Amino acid sequence: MNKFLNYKAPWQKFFFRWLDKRSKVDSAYQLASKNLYIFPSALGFAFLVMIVVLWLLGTNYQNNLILALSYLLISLFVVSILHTYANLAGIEIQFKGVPHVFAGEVSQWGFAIKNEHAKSRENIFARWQFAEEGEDVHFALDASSDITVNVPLTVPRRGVFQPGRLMLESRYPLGLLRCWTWLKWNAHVVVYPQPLAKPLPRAFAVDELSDGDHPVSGGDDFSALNNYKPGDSLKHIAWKSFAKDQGLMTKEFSQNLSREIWMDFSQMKQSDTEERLSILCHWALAFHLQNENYGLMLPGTIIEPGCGDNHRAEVLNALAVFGCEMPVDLRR
Amino acid sequence: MSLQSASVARHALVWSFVAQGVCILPLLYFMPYWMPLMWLGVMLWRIQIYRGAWPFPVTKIKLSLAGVCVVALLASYPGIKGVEPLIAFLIVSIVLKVVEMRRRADVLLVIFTGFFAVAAQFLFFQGMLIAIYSIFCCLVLLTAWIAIYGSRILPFKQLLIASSKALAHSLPVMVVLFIVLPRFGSFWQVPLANEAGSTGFSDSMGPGTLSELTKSSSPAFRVNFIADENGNRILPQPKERYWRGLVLDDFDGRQWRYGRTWMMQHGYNSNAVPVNWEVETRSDRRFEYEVLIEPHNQRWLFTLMAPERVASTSLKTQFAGDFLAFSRYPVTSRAKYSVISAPDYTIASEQLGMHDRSRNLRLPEDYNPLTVALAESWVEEGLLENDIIERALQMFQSSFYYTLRPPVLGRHSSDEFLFESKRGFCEHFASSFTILMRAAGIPARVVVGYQGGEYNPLEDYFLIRQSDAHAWAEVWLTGQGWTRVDPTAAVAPSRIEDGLSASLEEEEQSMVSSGFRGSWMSKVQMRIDALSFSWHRWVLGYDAERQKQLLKGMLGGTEFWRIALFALLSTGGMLFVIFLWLVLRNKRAHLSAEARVYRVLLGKLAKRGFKPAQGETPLQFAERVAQAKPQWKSQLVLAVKLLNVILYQGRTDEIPRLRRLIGQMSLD
Repeated sequence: MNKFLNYKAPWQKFFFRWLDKRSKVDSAYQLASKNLYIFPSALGFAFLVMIVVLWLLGTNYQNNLILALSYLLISLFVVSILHTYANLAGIEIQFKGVPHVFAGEVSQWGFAIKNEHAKSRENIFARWQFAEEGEDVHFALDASSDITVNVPLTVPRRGVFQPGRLMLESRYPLGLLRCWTWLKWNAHVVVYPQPLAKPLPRAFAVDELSDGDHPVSGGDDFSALNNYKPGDSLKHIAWKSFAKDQGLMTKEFSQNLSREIWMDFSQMKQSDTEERLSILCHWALAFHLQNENYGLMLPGTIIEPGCGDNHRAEVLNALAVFGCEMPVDLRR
Repeated sequence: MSLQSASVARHALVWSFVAQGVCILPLLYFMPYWMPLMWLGVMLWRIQIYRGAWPFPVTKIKLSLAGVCVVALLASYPGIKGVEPLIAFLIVSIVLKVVEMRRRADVLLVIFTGFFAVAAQFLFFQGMLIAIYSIFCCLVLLTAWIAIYGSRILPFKQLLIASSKALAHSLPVMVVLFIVLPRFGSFWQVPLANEAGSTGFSDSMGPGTLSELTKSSSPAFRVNFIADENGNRILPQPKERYWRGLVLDDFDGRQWRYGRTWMMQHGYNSNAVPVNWEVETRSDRRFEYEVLIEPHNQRWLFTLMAPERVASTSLKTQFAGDFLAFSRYPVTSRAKYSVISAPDYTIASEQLGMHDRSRNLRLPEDYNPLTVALAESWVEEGLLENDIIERALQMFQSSFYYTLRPPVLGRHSSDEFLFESKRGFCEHFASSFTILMRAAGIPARVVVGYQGGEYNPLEDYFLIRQSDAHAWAEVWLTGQGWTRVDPTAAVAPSRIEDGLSASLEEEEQSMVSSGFRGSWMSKVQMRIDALSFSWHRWVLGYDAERQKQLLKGMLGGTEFWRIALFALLSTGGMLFVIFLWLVLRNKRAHLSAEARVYRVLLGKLAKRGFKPAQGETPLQFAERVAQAKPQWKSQLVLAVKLLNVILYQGRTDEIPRLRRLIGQMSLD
């Protein structure tokens, strides 16, 4: 990012305050004069200096053609205000969603961007207000087209975060002017704690149960062959029987659950909450992979033991939002 | 996005090579011979880098290359003088820059200096063609510029369209700025081009000087005559069209020279003839005219006798003795000055100052003895001044030929001409005649300038070409003062009445570059020159004074508010049109007809606070609205069902009905 976009600069703070006053939070925008800003870039100022030099040259030589050239370049500057603005104006942008991420990872915010005009849009640049170096996207839009753009953003901590403002910027065609917008989104991301591999307290493996007491379908051990019902997984179809013209059969697997694991926040020996959550996160992922039955006990939240993707999401979500249920602005 | 780090797509690099080449091409004509070679070498080098055959040069090579170029520059321009070395330096630097060009900032530098190269072209050329060429240069520069700002490789056509649009939108705004923005005089003295415009004669005249010039048909200057307050305009008769340039009164036996020092005692910027000059006008006849002079790198200006005022906004004009008009600095670019002349004049009729008299009688010893003897014989016959002149002219008339190919003359040029060859061009006649007069005791001098001129009816002006260069004599007669005598007129009167071509033998006419006088080609040429004159008058010569005239004519006054209002309204209007065209044009062009009709319905509902939710079909939306406003239900459902019929059964013939339905919908 170049040095002109220092978001911590006082004038930038002032600008954002002013922006907040006049713009709302939304999940879809159309770029227009009310949310587009335009100002000469560093190159634009250099160009103006060049025009002044040319003008001095023309005046000193009393050369009307050099003067005309300098006027042509002034006109070019003025006209390129319109051209740069027109490259962004009218674009429609809508927030599509953001997958969950772990702390320290890059979240990918999906936007559907639509160009209804019969002319293409070139060299548009998107980045989040708090994005790190290199976390940006360049894209172009063909005439009457739409694309999906993922704007990356590194999230350092777990929690529920609002991404701040999204900047869309374009300097096309001549780079003399910077036309940009800051859009605030009705969107947030749930950031899971960063997994931390440390042993769990032995006390967690409570509720040892004997084999065979709780046969639960699913698992690794083949138990029976049933008639196929719609909705059965394709992976479990007995293709060999099908090949022998015995009809569609589904192999049933079962697992005798040996245990229910309770992960209890309060019984952990680490003093730091975040560290505890990270360890819990690691084990939740590990148990999920091992197809264990695991439950979570957090102060104020209890999730009964279970397994599967939904259960995993529920557990991780609980870890993510622990102590910070309300979305907060992501700041560094 | 950062300028420094952004590298440039390869096709954009190609564009910038082309742009640079196009911009410096006309300049190379004025540059030392090694420079085009250097440019070609650098291009070859860069192409090899581009193809991946050679690596980028290391710093040591770059430095030594720059050193070689600086040495070559110093060698080519020993005493750094004029603007050429500066331009040469600019070209060398930007051409060398190309070798290491790879980042966006480098390309931008090449493009910006390209605009300076275009400006430098105008220091050497100012014609209409170079202006058109420079627009082409700007187009290529803009294309290269846009190419580096696209995030993807734009196809050639799209690039060209984008740059053409930018240029086409800028040009009308430029015209308004050109018309209204105020003009200033030079802020400081600038180095001038040495080589631009050097045709014309010098401050000395020998046999053959002017006949050389007649081979050039290039324009010397153009004159348009201005009507006075009553609308009357007086044009000079052909025999009055003697455009005086210099008075040559110092004869060394071979050459006639301007015998005075440059700096005149009269103050600068004095537009009027000093009052102490003894000039009397015999009538109210005045010629009022504007001269648009081509650069001749000399200080003298051309006027009709006897100038009373000379004024100019771009030249600092002044009068020197003998009614010569000068510019303070050499005329190195096309310039305009206006003159008022009184054709019916007498100068110093009572007596000639001792100093002037002796200077205009002086003849070198041991030159042209026969000529001197002839003149003295006339005096001994007791002839008066007028009779002596008459006798000399009669002599020319009876046995002399006017020719462009006079024989080469030896030491006693006038003797050989008068008594042997008897064939000569105007400088021979003027020179011999003046020697005769001086030998006879009549103060006389040679005047060089131009005679005649071709009238161009298309733009109403006279074009005076180099081939109209002429020399004649002025003699001082008691009681009449300085009087013009043109001995050439005695030999070849048609020279004065009809121009040079008409006065020559047929075989010699082809030697005169008169520009196809009289043929259909001449009409074409006249039209081209008329165009060129308008160009000079309205573009190159558009100065503060002309601006004032034009704005007064256009706006009815030159007050600041009028000009500002005009500028704001016209540029604002143009920019507004461009804005509409850019932002609104084709906005919904891709929407199908039924979608546009549906949009009208959406607009109506939006005004009443209903907006379709994400993913809601028209029918769902209509039903949702109908729940809130049951009274609209029948209309809405009917319209939406019709829309679905159009959409899914392809019944595009129903679109007008839907449009009517939606148009008549009353949602109260």
